[in-house]
Amino acid sequence: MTSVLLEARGLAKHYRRRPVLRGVTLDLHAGTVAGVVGENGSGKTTLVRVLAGILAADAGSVTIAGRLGYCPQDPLVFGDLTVQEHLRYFAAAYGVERWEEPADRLLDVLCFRTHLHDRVDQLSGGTRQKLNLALALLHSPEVLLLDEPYSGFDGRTYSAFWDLVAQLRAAGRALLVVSPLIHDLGRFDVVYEISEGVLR
Amino acid sequence: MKPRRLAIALVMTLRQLLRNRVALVLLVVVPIAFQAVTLETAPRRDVIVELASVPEAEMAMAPPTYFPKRHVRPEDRRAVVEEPARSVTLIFVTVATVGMLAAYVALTLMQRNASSTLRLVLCGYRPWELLAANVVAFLCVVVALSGVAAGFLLHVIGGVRPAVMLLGLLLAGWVYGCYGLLVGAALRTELAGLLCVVLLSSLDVMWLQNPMDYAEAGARLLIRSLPGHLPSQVSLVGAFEDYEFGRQALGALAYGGALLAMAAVVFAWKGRVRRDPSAPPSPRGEGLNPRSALPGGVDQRGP
Repeated sequence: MTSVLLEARGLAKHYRRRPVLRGVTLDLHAGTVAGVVGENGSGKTTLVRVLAGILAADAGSVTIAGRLGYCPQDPLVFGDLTVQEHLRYFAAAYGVERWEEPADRLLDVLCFRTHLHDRVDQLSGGTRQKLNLALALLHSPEVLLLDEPYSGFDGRTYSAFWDLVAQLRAAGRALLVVSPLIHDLGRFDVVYEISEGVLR
Repeated sequence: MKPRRLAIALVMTLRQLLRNRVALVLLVVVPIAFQAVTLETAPRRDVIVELASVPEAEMAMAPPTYFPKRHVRPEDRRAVVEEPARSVTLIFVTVATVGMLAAYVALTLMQRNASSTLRLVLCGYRPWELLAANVVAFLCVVVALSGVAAGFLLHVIGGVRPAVMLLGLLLAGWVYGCYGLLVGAALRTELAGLLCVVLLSSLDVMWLQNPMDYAEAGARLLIRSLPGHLPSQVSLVGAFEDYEFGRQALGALAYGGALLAMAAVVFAWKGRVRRDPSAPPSPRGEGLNPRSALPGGVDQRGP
């Protein structure tokens, strides 16, 4: 049995009086790719935000063993900075001293090296999303929370993304991927469906 | 504290600021435009001014060199000074403009990309490191802004002590910039933040601190407690009198410092990571090579 890298117990979250998460319990094991699916507004993003620590849960606990990589659904980046400046800025946040090498690999794997010196407000939505994902992977985290990480990707990058996921799984990382695509289900080791605030 | 992280945050903040060319041009054009309009429209007569920072008894007793234009008003025997209305108006409008623009820049630094900034905190930056970068960035703007505005003032009206007049402008930028940081930390919506900045600075520096109205004003304690009071007084004393300004300057520094401390508390509270920070290290994660999982990397853990 592999070790648990993310442990969530009894998570509850309400928006005003509307319950969004109700007693969500989840274990994410090393070397596992888990998918979270559900209808629009079912609470997938809220779950990921609570797990990441951006949103406070009304009840329950989250414990993460190791470094966390979080890729939000909407790219949270700075429009006036270039791709290279983002990589440097986030490497400083992670405390990664030698960031050039992993950054180089991510630029190649996600096919956006040509935009290295472009400002983010001049990038297409898909390229911004590549940067958004790269920033979550830069420090090679043990636990990855990816909220619809490939929206806007072209076919080649989409395929490269899943190759990357396979390598991360093989390297013992734990991944939780929110997916709106039904044909992605076969790529997950575990699939959770969230409905009416309950994870099944 | 890690100076390198702080330096990178500052460099990135300044780059974002400098790449907003239109805003930078406006930061130079707006104060000069305000000053030029004031210069053209202000009345050409002398007005009676009561310096709020100088206690009445002290003013009456001070040596004549301190207040060369002092005289005692016959109707109530109060010591006042007489100055050209144009100069007085120009000074308080300049203080107001520097304060308002500093507050706006600080507000923008805090509110723009607030979610991305929160992501940086989640990734490991401490909120105060990012706040410190914002403080240094807005102070750079305040220095440039005050320099331009003081240059115009000196060119037009001169001044008894130009350095003190400049200090008053810098302090106005400091106090109102810190106020902008606090508003930006507390409020997420741009319109609400903008209203807080514009309304207070208009009411405070543009109206209540106007030294021509102060002589007749009621509720003086309220006027003295507003953020624009001490910086305005430093600038006015520097422009017209030889009176000491140390208390006012220190008071303004402390006022801004208190606002900054409040901004830091609010920013840290809103930016806190809401997860159990005492997670034990991963039994498997300990051996992971940070680059091993990326394509082309070598996994050193073995099977």
